[in-house]
Amino acid sequence: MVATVQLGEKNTAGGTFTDKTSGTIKFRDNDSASTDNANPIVIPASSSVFSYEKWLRGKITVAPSVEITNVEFYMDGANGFGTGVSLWAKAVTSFLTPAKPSSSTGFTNAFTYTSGSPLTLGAGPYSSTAEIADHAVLAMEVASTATQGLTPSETATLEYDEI
Amino acid sequence: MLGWLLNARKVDTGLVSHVADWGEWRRVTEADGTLHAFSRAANVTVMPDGRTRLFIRTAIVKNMQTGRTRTRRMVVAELDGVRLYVLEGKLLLSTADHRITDGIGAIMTPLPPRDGNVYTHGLKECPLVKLTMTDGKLILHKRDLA
Repeated sequence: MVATVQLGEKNTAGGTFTDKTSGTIKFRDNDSASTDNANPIVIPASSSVFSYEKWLRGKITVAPSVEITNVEFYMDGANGFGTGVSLWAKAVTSFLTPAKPSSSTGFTNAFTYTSGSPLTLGAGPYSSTAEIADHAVLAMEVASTATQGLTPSETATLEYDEI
Repeated sequence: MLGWLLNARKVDTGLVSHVADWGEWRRVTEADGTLHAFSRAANVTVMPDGRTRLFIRTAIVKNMQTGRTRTRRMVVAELDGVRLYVLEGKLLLSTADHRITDGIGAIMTPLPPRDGNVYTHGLKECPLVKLTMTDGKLILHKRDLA
């Protein structure tokens, strides 16, 4: 069988994994995989605020014939979220309870991670049914210049090699 | 199924040592190191003429708002740093490390190329590695196939 890899979101202190392969990933003002309209990020009067982090990770649910290697994460290279909205990213090995960052220190502009320069999550090899590689940790920053409402959609890609 | 795989290959070498299922593709490793990938769209062989790899690259492309996800796969065959990419009915010979969504599709050649053709375009720095189309099969090699 070709391997099945889910792209999931992890929440709460226990790191509960929610499969988001076919689901919406919604940046919020609380630590939740929910996609409802509660806990929106409130546009500040000045400066900027952050969403809670989104801890994304790949998970093998059907093992590969041999192994998976070279796990990478990247965006499409252009911030389509609109004025005043930024997205930050970093790779983290060990899970921590998703928090609300106070600054972008330690993060990199997520849109600099492209197909030509992806965020490396793990070389592998990975062969068993389990979560794999580092977490891709994302946080949205919303400045006072942002426009209220749902942000336009963006595309994220998880890519890996398999033999 | 295994018999079909053996009959489908062009180059007669040793015994099959490993078969992997990649969904629409099958990967076969022979005892002498020859690598094959088979699908309805294309058959790819990498001769053991140097450092070889054969793998499938998968991209889970996700719209974060709607949740819509598209899974795309391309086969990558490699011989001494020269890669043959096969993606959705097209091929590319390159020394670059291409991702599925980096625009590679726009610079690929539609399959099938003409039998008997040898493709080395754009690879003047690697003149010894050749891609030959024979009997509908793509063979990445350095040795003389005659």
